Amino acid sequence: MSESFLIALRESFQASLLLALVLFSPLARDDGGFRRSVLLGFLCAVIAGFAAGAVPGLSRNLGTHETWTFWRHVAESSVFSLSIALLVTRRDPPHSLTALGLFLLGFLLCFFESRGLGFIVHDLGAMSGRPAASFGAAGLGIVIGSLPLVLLRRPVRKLPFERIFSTASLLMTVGALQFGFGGLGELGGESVMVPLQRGLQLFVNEFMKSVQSTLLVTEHPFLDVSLSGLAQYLGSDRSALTATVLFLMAPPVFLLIVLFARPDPEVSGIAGSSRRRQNIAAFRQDLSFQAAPVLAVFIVLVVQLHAVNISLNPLYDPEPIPVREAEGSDLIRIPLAGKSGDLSDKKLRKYVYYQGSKQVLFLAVMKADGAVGVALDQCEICRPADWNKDAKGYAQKGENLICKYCVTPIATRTVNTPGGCNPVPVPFLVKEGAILISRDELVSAFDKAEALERTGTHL
Amino acid sequence: MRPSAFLRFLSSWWCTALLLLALAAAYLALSLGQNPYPAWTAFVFRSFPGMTVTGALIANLLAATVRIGRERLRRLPVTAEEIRSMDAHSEIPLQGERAARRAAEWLQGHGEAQDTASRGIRSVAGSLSFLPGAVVRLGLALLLAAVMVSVHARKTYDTVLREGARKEVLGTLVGLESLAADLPADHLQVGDDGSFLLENVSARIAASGSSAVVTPGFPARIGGRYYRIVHVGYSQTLAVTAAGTRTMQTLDLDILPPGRTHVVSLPSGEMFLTLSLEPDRVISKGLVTGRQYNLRDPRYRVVVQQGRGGAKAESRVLGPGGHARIGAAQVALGDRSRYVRLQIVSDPALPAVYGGMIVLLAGCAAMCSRFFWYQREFAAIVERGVLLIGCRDEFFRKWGIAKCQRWKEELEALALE
Repeated sequence: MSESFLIALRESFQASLLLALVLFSPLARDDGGFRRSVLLGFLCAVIAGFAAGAVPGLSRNLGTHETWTFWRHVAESSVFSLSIALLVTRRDPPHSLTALGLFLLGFLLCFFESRGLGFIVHDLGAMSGRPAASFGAAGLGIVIGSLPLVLLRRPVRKLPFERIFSTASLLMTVGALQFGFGGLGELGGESVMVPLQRGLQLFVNEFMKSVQSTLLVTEHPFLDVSLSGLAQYLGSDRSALTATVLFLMAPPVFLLIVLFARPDPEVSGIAGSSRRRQNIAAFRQDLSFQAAPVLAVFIVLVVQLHAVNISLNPLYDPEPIPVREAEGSDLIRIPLAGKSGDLSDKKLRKYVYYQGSKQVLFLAVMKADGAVGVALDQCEICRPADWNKDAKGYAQKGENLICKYCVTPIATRTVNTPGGCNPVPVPFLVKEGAILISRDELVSAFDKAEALERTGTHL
Repeated sequence: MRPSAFLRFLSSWWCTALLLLALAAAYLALSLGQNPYPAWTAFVFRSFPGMTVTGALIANLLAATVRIGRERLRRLPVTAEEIRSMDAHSEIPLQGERAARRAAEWLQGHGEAQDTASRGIRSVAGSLSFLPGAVVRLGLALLLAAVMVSVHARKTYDTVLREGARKEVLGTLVGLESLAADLPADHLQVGDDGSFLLENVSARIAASGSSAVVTPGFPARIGGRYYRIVHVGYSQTLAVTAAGTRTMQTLDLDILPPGRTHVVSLPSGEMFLTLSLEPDRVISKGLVTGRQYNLRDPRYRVVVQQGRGGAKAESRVLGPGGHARIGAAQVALGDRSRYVRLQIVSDPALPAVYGGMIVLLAGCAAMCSRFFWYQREFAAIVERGVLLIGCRDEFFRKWGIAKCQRWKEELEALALE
């Protein structure tokens, strides 16, 4: 039951924080009608979302987890990007439209999280055979998670939100925090950055191919075609990364431009010099306050970008995910696409299997041709000293795996080929969308590799 | 909606944003299925709703360009109301005729007076700065329109031509007069799929009474059609005698880059043979193995296989003119030549596609000038003994307002002297 409680506590706390931001923003704070719109949207989202996830009939018929994740990402990105539309629009929208917008914002603050929470709490209850206790623990988590908002609402209300947030910066901050919190997908390592970058990569790649096809300069495996190098570069993952960064950084940069393009206050008509200085100081202080959300959003986005290892020079070394054999079987089953991601992204995945005191680290990666490679996270040669254990195994850089000890690049397509600097292969099968590894064969490969006489490095 | 209101909306940025959002929403919706990009392009250029949105976008881009151009080139008389609507404006009381004269001299010295009627002046700099944006929009509109036509009107054919051969394609006699390619005599391939790049491939193609050099790069236009090389390889005559049956054929081998295998099925049933390029030398150094091929005069490894399981009977290395008994088959190789696979395209919109692309790219490059080329407007008018001045800058308004403030201080000093 503690899992239900902790998950609900976390989600409730995050949702409370977002709700507090919106409720105490200048837009909603001074208008009871707007506040009610936000709260109504929020409550509707809690009830509808929780029902959609927790009621088995609804959760079965309302789409798969992937569909919900897709629309969650779309909703979060829309809230984030809407800030630009507000910055461009000069006119204030009518009262009724603002109220509707705030209702929708309140709704989107927690709808997808409520649905995920309902689903997980129901699932945990069903697995433990005590659904009532699971829902009770989740309810307690929700109440405790929302306590800070309830208890601290008066002191928080006194904070100078009106000086910090405009409507545009509020939406941008809410969107960025939603990216950062990641909803319940965070538990499975999902982040909006991954599908965003992959989606953009797919788009730019296909776009460049269609441009080449339209101009009749399609690529060829070995003939020298005009502009093919440029097209490959423009359609590469680097361009996708650039597009991702542009998409993410557009709202804060635009907001910053709007802020700092404002003219200094007109003070020539003010008689006293001290009063003139005060006016200018107040203007600059306002600028600093209003730039604070931009800075916060920059930090959240940069952390997010790095968290998914899409920095410009990535040496990708993911944390191993613990795996175990299925109950009543000696097979370890790793889905090709699941909570730990989709292997078709060609990213390295690491796993750890514990048997007694043994810690069997192994890796899986999808090769360029779509075949899967599975191997131990060690080779037959390198044995780093005890003080340098972190250098054991492989990381990924571009098309290659890199031995972290001797820095030898290993072409990903050669994973499963034994010998030399290659990782020690592990026998496996791919069946019904999953990698199947025999526990005994995995441990046996590990034991044999550990028994090898390794002198340190081949260098 | 009245026609003028409709035109105003059609030429507005709101309309552009709505249409682009519609296209983005369509892509998002199609992302839920398989292969979203081809489905999206089919939606945009082939379906009625998609073509409506694309057509509206083209109309919007053109209308927006006309609207912006008209707004920029229109000269309205200077009025007090207009000056008061500018980014910055100030009122300076004039102390007598002398001050007014001085102010007028000062104003004449600051910019070209373009409207001196009704006691006002207006100075506009950078009024043509809308041109880079106009070029981008016109390029995009032309490109979209051309692609839409191209998608529906383009017809593509593929044909293989051997050196010296002529063939009738779509009622036109097409011949390969000559073929040039920098096939290396010592191509070294390291690993299973080393980098192989064949440069300077060109063919002289004769069609419709004229000829032109065709390459794998940009297509060449001959007789209203576009020709492009999409593949190159060896043609090899081959005679096989197996089970008492003699078969003779000319093969267009697909064995480049080295390492690829071409499979030849024989009419005699279960037997088939494979051909691949045979290296002249194999060089091993440590873990690395390299294979050196003479691609100008290559030899083939011919393997005869029997049955669906591909039981290997025997293999031999043969060059053109060579013959050998391989397993149950007598194999003889004849002359070798080269072939090209040509893509022949009939597309009335291709010049417009290229034109649109060039105009669009030129416009994008010209957009860099917008950092320092933008409209700056200064206006002044005397009204009831008060000089009213105003400034409006398209970009960097902060600097424009500061400049206006400086001018105001200068004029005030003149007016109060």
